Amino acid sequence: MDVSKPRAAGGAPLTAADLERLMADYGDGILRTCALFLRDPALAEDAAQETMLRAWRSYGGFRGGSSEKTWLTAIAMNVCRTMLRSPWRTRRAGPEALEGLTVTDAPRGDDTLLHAVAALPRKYREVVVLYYYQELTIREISQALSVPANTVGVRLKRARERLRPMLKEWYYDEP
Amino acid sequence: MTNHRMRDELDTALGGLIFSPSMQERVRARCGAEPPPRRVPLRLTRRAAVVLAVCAALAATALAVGPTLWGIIQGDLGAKTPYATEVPALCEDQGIRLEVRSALFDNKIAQLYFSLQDLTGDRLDGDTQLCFGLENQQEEGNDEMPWNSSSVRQLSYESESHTALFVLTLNGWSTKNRLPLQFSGDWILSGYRTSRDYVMAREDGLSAVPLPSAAADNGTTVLLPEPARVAAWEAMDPDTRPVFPITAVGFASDGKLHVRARISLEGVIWSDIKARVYASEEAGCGVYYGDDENVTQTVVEDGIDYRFDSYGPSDLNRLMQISVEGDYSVHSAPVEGVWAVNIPFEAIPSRDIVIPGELRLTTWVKGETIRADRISLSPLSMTLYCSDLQRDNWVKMPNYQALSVSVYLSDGTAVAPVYVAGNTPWAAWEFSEPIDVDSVTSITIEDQTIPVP
Repeated sequence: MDVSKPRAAGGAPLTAADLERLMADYGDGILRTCALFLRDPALAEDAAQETMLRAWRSYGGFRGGSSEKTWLTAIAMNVCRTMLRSPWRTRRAGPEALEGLTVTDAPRGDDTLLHAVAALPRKYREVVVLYYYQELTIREISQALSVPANTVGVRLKRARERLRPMLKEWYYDEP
Repeated sequence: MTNHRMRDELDTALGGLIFSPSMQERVRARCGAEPPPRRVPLRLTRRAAVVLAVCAALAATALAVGPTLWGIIQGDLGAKTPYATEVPALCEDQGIRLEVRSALFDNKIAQLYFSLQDLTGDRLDGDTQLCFGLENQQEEGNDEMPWNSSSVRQLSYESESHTALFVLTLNGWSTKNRLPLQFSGDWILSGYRTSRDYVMAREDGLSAVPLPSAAADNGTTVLLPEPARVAAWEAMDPDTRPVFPITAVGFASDGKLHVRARISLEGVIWSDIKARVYASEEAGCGVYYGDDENVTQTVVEDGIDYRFDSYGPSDLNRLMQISVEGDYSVHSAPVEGVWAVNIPFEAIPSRDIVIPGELRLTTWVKGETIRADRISLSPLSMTLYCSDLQRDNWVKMPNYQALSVSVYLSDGTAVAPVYVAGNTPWAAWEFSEPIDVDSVTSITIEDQTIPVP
């Protein structure tokens, strides 16, 4: 007898299919969002899995549409922020991996944008990732990050200003 | 720059990052096994003494009579059996004996086989929760993390001898470790079950209008059961419906948020049931936190009424979910005690091979590479160590699982080990059968061959 499954709103039991749908519909996006925010793909895997687990535990009222995506993204950002505060974060790769690193001479190619976003300070990086990658609205970002919408707007503006010189070879057509 | 173009470019750059089948499987496994009610906190001191909580819900494999414990261990180890060492470590407390049976330290992966035996009763079974810790007192100057991850798996339960057998696996074991590992435990629970019922505030139509309430024997206000909720639960499949269902939820006549649950403890030996509200700090904010503090419990006719003293009608817009969650056992009460053993570290001899030149491996990110520095070969596995793992603010993620690896022996045989585990700076592949390390002539990774002198 499995009595550990949450019950969805209305009394219908949550099914394994719902979990599969969450992972299929949002898994890649959440994983890459976490990677962009944490700047560490290995840590992002842990964060994405934790996000799905927390979502499954409290799932019930979110059915499709942007609200579900916003809700999942909010969970992911909480998980990522917790990880950034964890003392384990600085030990993730181990000193043997980080000591004596040399910058490669490999030319920058398709990863220019990736590294430009990764170079942003955290508070700018998260609004850029949520706006440009997750394609959330200002209001949705405000909900996901628990900051006022005005603050989101200001951070986005400043993030664009920082990105502009790093991506000066790109066409930049936003107002 | 348009939204869509940036998204497309980032997706291209990160195209190798996918929520893989193995990740999905790990999520499914965790969703199917609720965490136990107690955890040993993880701490890391400057002297690198690390305590790792190992708590897992375990599924039994059937064993009434048949192979001895060592036979079961051999079956699990397979071809690795000759390389495992017996570990003379045992302790007893509260009538339960903890005995480490065997250990295998192979480069970055360690496996410890241990048993629990009830010497005085029948408190163990094939569905046992364990709370144990691992502590490694590292040598001065060794700041390396002792391991990356761990898992515990129950192999068997033998009812005649009241003995349960487990295997603990540590991935990313630090090969610099030389001091004994302390394996300790403080809590055992068998017959573990869990139940959870919840209500979504908005979707369920929770309102600020007080629900029918009454005074309990002690004078406190409690909710009366809502007939519709009770009927809905009773109509559910008995095998899948919540064991501790919510029979009423909302604001009572005392102006506080309540949730009432039917708690039937027939057949339950031990239980730990909590009510929790998930709320945001501000109305309309999409981030919610679980809160199970300031909760007053009142026993009612068929269960418990929980009053959340911090929540009133003015908080309605902050509420997302109210839940009643319980862990319980139908077998025995938890056994609390002190079990601790030291496990000496004895690694399988291995051979280090420095990779000459500049062997570069691709990562998940297009155009990005890392450097492969050395290989450690044991009869059981091959471990690859890499460097150049950070670029500016970005930690690279090698795609070790996709690498094609072959090991060539002096008799012309080519062996293809199977990837088993890895983290950012290392990855391990296991041989299906032990090899003679001295007979290895070369190793090929992708299309690059490394001669082995």
